[in-house]
Amino acid sequence: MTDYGSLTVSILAASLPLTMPILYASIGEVYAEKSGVLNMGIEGVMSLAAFVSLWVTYSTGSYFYGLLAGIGAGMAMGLFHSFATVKIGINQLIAGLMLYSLALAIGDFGYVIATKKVVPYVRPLSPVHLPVLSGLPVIGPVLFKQNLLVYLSFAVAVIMGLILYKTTWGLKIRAVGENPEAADSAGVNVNLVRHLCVILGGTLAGLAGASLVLGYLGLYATGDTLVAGRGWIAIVVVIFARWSPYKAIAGAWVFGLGYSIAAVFIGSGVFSSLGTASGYLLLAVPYVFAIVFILLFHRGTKSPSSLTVPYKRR
Amino acid sequence: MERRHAVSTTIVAIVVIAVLVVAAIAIAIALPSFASTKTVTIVPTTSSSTSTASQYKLALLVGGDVTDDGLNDQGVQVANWIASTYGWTVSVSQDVAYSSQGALMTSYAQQGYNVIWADGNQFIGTTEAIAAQFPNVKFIMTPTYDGDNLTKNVVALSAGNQATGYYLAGVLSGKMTKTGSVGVVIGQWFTALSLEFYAYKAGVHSANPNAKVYLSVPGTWSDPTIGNTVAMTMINTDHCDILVPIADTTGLGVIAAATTTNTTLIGTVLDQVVLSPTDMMTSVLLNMTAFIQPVIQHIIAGTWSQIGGKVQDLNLGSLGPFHNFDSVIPTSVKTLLAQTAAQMGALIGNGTMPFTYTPNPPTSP
Repeated sequence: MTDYGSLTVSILAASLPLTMPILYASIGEVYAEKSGVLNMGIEGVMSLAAFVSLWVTYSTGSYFYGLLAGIGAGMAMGLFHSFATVKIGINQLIAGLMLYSLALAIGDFGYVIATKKVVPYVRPLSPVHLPVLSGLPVIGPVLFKQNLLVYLSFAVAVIMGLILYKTTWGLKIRAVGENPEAADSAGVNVNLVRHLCVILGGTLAGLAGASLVLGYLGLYATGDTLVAGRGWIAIVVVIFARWSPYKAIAGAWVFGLGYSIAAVFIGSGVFSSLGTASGYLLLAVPYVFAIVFILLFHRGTKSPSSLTVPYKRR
Repeated sequence: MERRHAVSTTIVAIVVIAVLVVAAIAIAIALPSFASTKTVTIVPTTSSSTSTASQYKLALLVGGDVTDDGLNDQGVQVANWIASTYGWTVSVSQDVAYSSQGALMTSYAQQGYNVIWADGNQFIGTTEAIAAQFPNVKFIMTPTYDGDNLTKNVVALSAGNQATGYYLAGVLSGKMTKTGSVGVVIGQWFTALSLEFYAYKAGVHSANPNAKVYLSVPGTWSDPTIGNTVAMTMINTDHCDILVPIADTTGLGVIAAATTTNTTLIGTVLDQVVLSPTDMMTSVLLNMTAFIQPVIQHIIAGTWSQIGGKVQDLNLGSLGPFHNFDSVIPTSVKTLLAQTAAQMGALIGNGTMPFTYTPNPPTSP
């Protein structure tokens, strides 16, 4: 007899770690796009950062160094993308897809070379049980028995939202994305802001990849099967979230919840009586959620006015 | 001033593009998976066989790459063994996408490769079609085939060839489970995997009639994150203390979840202890060489007609070493496994070791 109460708690608890990498990546992309630069390479950057953080953690035994290395790899890829798109003015879509292929290939290359006879695995970070709160029924195991990187992802989203909407820095970023000429006349260095935002986006994509390894799986897989489309989903979340870090929390969680429902139902065999189709149907749940959200929230969706438009000072 | 700026930007752009092109070429050479398919050709420097060895050129196609430590890795190992043992020229193509299968096989056939080995069930339809177009090229299909569309130039391996190994793994699991619940994760439900699952289940129940055998079929071979969460649910909700992933990259997530929770694992195809040195109890090995070697020898001897167009019905499954669990598994269990392995022919004969197939996976116990 299926215990639907404990199944619901399992689904909700599993949804937050599945939300984490999508949330990190989407917040970074919010910043990049708010400044006017699209980065389609997130998926590859996440994959590269995942390998780098795994390998450094495995080699040094330090999660901290591994996390820094993953962030560093993402930052380097962000720098590359900002150079290509902001400095040189390469078409952002093409540059992003190039970045995706390049970062993915470097990660896979490194993995194949580094793992001739050793398959690196690190034990994912253990959950931190917050005193008192973790003992609460239902919300205790859901919200307060997660690992540090999960807690950090939500904190980062809130902090980045505050910076974007409550500080002069945020105002400059939004101005650069909406009307770069006006921002320039007001003394804002448009391209510097864009460089920094794209690098920040890469950094958070790196953190997303590192979190997938250090906070969830503890391993790497080649051929883009590790990130498995979550970088692309992060780009979709940015649109759902209407370029807001706060709304990105909800958008990323919708997908995390969708993945969680699929995996927990598959694992518990709830719909196994439906036969082979049940797995395929359940794996479609996140995307069904996406379509529902698009239908619910498509009105009023407006991208930053100068998104994908390079800025050249006259 | 603007003109000078434009010129310098153009120069920078050219340099960056040049660097990217060089980097892309370097990566493409070093790791051709940067392109859709990774191909490596091995031309032996010395021939350990006869002077006619050079007339044989074998192409191996696999869907993934050697980092799976499973079927793809095994195929490449066996291909290398053919090159070194028989002096054949061997070309290995990894990461072969569905869309490139036909073009790649056709290309090999046109280049004079006289043996094409497609290792992976995803190649079956394409192999049947291409084999019909090149009757002078010999095709080998593994790991399993349950159709009836073989032309005279194709040899295939029957479904359920690992089933005996899974029956033994089931006996071991039935004896070693402490919770009385064990689980199998299968990427997608195919005939061959159906046979392996029911063999495993029968093995479990022969050793422990009250044990529960859970099954999850995620419907994907390539998402370790889903595999991880599926496994966590089987561990936490169903209390499975032994997991058997047969799910490629999705299975890596199962292995990660099991290692994190110190849940016992049983690997597949190759000895997969490298994927989880602490928790991999054993692996169900697939002795591919026992199938490939006679095929190669028939080709060399000119007796292909004895096997061409036929499905080879072989039992290639066995249990691998116990590694860390060698001291944990009681002698009585090892004795039982040895006795069961010795009686396998009789167990198959009397139906104790079943060859059961269902088009859909069974519901949970």
